[in-house]
Amino acid sequence: MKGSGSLSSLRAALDPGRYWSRAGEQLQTTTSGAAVARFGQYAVLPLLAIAGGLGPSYFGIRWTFAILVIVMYALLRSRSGLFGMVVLGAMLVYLPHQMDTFERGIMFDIALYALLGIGLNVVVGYAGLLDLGYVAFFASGAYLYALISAPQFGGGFDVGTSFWIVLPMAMVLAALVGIALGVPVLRLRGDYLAIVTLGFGEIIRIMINNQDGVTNGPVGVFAIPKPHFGSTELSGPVELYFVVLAGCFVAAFAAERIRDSRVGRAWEAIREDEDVASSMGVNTTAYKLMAFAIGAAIGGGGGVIYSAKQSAVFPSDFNLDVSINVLALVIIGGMGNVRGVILGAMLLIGLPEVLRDFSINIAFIHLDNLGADYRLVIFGAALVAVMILRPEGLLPARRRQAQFEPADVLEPEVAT
Amino acid sequence: MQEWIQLLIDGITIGGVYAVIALGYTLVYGVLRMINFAHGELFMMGAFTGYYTLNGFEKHSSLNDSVPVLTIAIAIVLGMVVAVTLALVMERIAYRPLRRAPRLAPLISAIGVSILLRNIMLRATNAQGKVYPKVFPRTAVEIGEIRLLYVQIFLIVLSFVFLGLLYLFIQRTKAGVAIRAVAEDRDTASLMGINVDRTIMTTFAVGAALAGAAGVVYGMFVTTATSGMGFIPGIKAFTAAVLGGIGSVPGAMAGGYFLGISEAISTKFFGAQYKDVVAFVLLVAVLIFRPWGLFGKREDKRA
Repeated sequence: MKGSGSLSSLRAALDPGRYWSRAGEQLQTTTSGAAVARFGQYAVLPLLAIAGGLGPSYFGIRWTFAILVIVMYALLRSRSGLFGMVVLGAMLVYLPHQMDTFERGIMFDIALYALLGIGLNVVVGYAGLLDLGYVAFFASGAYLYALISAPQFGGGFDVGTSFWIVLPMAMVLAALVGIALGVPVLRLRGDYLAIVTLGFGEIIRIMINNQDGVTNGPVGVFAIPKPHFGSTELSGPVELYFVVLAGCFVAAFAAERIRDSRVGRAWEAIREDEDVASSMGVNTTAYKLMAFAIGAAIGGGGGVIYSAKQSAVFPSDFNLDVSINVLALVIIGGMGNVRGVILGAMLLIGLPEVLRDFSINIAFIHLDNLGADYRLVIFGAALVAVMILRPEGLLPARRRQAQFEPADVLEPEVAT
Repeated sequence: MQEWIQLLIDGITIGGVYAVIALGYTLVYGVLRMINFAHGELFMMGAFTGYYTLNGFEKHSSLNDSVPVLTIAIAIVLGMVVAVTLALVMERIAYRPLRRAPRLAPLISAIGVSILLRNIMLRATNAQGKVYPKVFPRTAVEIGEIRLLYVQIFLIVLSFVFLGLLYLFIQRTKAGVAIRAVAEDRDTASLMGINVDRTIMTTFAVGAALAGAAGVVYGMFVTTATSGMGFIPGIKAFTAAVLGGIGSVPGAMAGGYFLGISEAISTKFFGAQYKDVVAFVLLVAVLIFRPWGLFGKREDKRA
């Protein structure tokens, strides 16, 4: 019974056409899904006009953000494809010009975490490898750029161009680190993998903290130069935000293309049942390492941009919380779905910042600075709530969503 | 030689703490196949309960000086009660609805509970560590060059006592048999008339009681309680549980002591700042070469 179950899931995984159309039909017949999709198409433009045109100066950041999230959700949920993406892109490009420095910083953080989420999603969402040490790749990218370009180590590099050279270098380095982590843990599964990767992330942080001669230890690396684009220095949060945004689009595009390729189908087979995948001739070793390497490369690239934005990096920037935040946004947004990751980043990274100065004064309850003081309390409670109410995430991948439907809907397909 | 004995004693001290916490992980993992990431926070809540209890006695009475045995016993019992209550609540709210959900869901939920508890305590204490009142004399017993704090002796003895009691509980009582049966095969156990829900609650309660008690004693040992104190010992204890073969009760005990002693000895060679690295390297090595644990039974496949 169990064997045939895994076989059928593998067949479904290797034969996306049939599965997709079924999942698609289901999605359309789901009333809420269709309603939201329709809402998305009709409500987008006026809402966009409100959010973009009147902008934060009129509404304040909180309402603008709320509108932004609603629009994003509608756009991401509807399958308007190219149109939605173009509108989304235009909005993300236009909005920061309406914002002040603090708000631009938030937009940068959201975009950076979305980028990291897209990377981790390759490992966790596509290949099903639970990685709790993703910060290691982020840290390796950040420190590579910091050490090469910061003047306190002699440097000697042309800082004007080094960013664009270090970026691919960091991605390669992170990919190698990813493979180095991947090789010993190949045989591990599930929770074991989680705890080993967690340990690996901590080891990297402790090493950075203690190798004073190389990394300057807990004191950190300072005066990291900003990147240049042509002769323009990309110094403000908006300019670097665009760099991350471009990174997000490239990474998202690449990730979705890979997912739909032979590699992606192999990942899916491994995720569903590794033993069956391997016995069907999928080279599980190679594909798992590939997932680690690609996810890590994206994380490394994110690290370089982070380092350039911050101008200073410290080992304490790269603690376990980063890994947990990225994992949480991937899972809450909807595993295996780049759109879900983007939504997850907006909610998990953006919302607590927006609520920073939010206060509650009802009757005898007085909670000032709700966002600043209690945001992590709320964050923890929200993680639990989302898992209970929607364990598949807010915007699950279509194929994953189908898995959460009653089993009998899909079973007849196997029998034919 | 004496230096080695000192390292060994230090290792046994911290190893006892790891062992007691590790039991909670291994029991819960045994019945639910889930890492209870919030387990370290139960330990932290125990430490805070211990602080508030002992501090209350210090402020309002002189019992801490006249009958310290009584106040310490009360603190430990209250620490256990608080931890057990919390564990049952979190099991009911955050884990039980997710029993049939995909595997990642309860893990994320547990991470959520962990973040929640840690930050509630951070707010409640205004990010200030709480310093325990002086219950034990801070002097040490000295044998040659070996130093042993009184509280250290207490901790070592108490962890042995707890481990012994737990072993008897698991092996000899009916509830213990039920826990082992559910760990072996939940569906079959349920067919044999075992109330699975209640057994899972018992498992959480037992693990939490141990963590709460360990928190109080560890708090007295390090003399402060902070909201972040549960995290690293929690991870280490999980490591210990894996070292001993997760799901195995004697394995978790042995793994705890093994990890504690390895860490203590490693400080001699690499310095104290690398002891976390040593713990994790040990974990990775064990998982690669003996994935069933140093002391566990070999199984063909682990999920």
